[in-house]
Amino acid sequence: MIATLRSRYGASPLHLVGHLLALAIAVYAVGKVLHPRYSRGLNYLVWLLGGAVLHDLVLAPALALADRFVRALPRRAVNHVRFPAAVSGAIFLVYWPLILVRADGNYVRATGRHVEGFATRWLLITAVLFAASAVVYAARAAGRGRAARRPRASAASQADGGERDRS
Amino acid sequence: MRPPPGPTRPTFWRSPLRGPWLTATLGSILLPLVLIVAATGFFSNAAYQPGLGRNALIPPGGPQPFGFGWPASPSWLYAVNQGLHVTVGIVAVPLLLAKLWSVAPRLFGWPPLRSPAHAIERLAVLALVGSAIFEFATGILNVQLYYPWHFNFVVAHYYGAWVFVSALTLHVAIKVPTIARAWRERGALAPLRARLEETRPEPYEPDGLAPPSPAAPTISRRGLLALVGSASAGLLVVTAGQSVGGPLRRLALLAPRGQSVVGDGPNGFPVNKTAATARISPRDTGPAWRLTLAGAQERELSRADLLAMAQHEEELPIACVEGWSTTQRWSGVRLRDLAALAGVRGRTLLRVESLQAHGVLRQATLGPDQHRDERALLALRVNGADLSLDHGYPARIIVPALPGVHCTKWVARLTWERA
Repeated sequence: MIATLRSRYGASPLHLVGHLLALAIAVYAVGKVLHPRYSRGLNYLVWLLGGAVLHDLVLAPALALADRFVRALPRRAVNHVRFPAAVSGAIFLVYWPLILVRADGNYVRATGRHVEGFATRWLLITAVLFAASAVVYAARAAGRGRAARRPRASAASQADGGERDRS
Repeated sequence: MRPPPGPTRPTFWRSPLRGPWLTATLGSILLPLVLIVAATGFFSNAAYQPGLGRNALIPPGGPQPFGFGWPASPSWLYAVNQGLHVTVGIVAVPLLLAKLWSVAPRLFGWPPLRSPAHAIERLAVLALVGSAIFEFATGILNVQLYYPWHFNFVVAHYYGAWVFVSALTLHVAIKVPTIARAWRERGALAPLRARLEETRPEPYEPDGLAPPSPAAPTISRRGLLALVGSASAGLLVVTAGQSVGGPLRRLALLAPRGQSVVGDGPNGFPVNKTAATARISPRDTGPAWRLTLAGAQERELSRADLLAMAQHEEELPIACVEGWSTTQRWSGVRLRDLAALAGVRGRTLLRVESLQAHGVLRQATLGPDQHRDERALLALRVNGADLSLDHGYPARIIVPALPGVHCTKWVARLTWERA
């Protein structure tokens, strides 16, 4: 009987039991929130599943597309753009409501102050990161320039390492 | 059946870094972080002591994991709990994105449903990813006081964690053999040693994560982890100071409460609710203000009466559920001295009510371990000055390890009740 289940279902009975249990807990928990006292049902369900859809169909493709443009840069420059962009982008992704001043009224009621300076500070951080990355890039380019004029021991040992790894 | 052109075809996916080893490694870094966030979240619910009085913000009844009594020691317990919950959650965001990127081909796998087992597995993954993004998004927007939705944040965030934790438990149980195999075949750390020139794709397997026709790498695997780590480190630097305090507070450049202090001086530290918001007017808090003690007998005390009692000073943190905290020097009357004055003996609950007329947090009930602690104060002064109106003048509760919103401000009435 277990063999029949396995061939019809496509996995072990334990797989089925585990999934039914997890999904039952999910349905119970979502049901608690769906009570009209705690949510407008449709809005809650859109939020619960909308984030995954938004990520999979908008954010992830947008990031992949942006990275495609970065990869079109000279090979050695690519990661000097990726690093500052990743840090700045992550900060924006988390803190865009403060950066774009989405909830000033709530902020005043809670803190007694207006939402101020977040956009400026984020832009400054972004500028500093890209500038620092550019300095490192320039320093490395200068280093490579010097090494190219004196090709010697270090280049030879690198070639050895590469050979060993391929074998 | 041949898949339609586009992401459903394995050849669409070209990144030479994708593969079981990378996903196993990203998942293994992410897992302890989300476990910290989930555990501290449930602990925070316990810290509100939803079983007492009208403390519960979630629907009553039903099973409640971690429903233990919350201790009053160490005093920094709630500050650390919430600092971890919010900061680790924010720091985990780049890892979550990287993890999802590493499994993107799975989303478009063809055919979409291969068997009943595959269908139910995809449903469970939808619950996992949906609840993960829901929990991160709602938590992150909540700490920025931005509520663009029509549901109760506390209830939805709490029960979202139920969905997330159950789906995650199942996911980890299913994936342990895959992780073990990836590390056995590639070595747990060996792929990190490869420089860019030495970076090779993981071997292609049908329905696997590694691409059949990989592009040339533009970054090594350790480079990718460094990229994700930098983004996490950046978030840590601009966030942690609001919880850690000290010189780090200046670095909390984007944290909602990094720089949000009104004025300097003894009362120059953040508030969670201004007097104006609570509709507290100077008239309510003037010389006519009286504190009512309701125990074995009822008494009324003026602020002068309270100041004439034995004053005690305690250095205690006040910590918000939203993650920020600040340690200050509070002074005032011990809650146990007030209990004695009201003729209260034995283990009781203490219900604290504010002058604030409306709002669920205008009152809170404290357990015996909280209000009988010798550091538990009805504070009248802070850092040697009278409390400011925004900080709860004429008197506020300050109890070690108690969630900030339960340290009721503008206290009007204390009622001791049978436990």
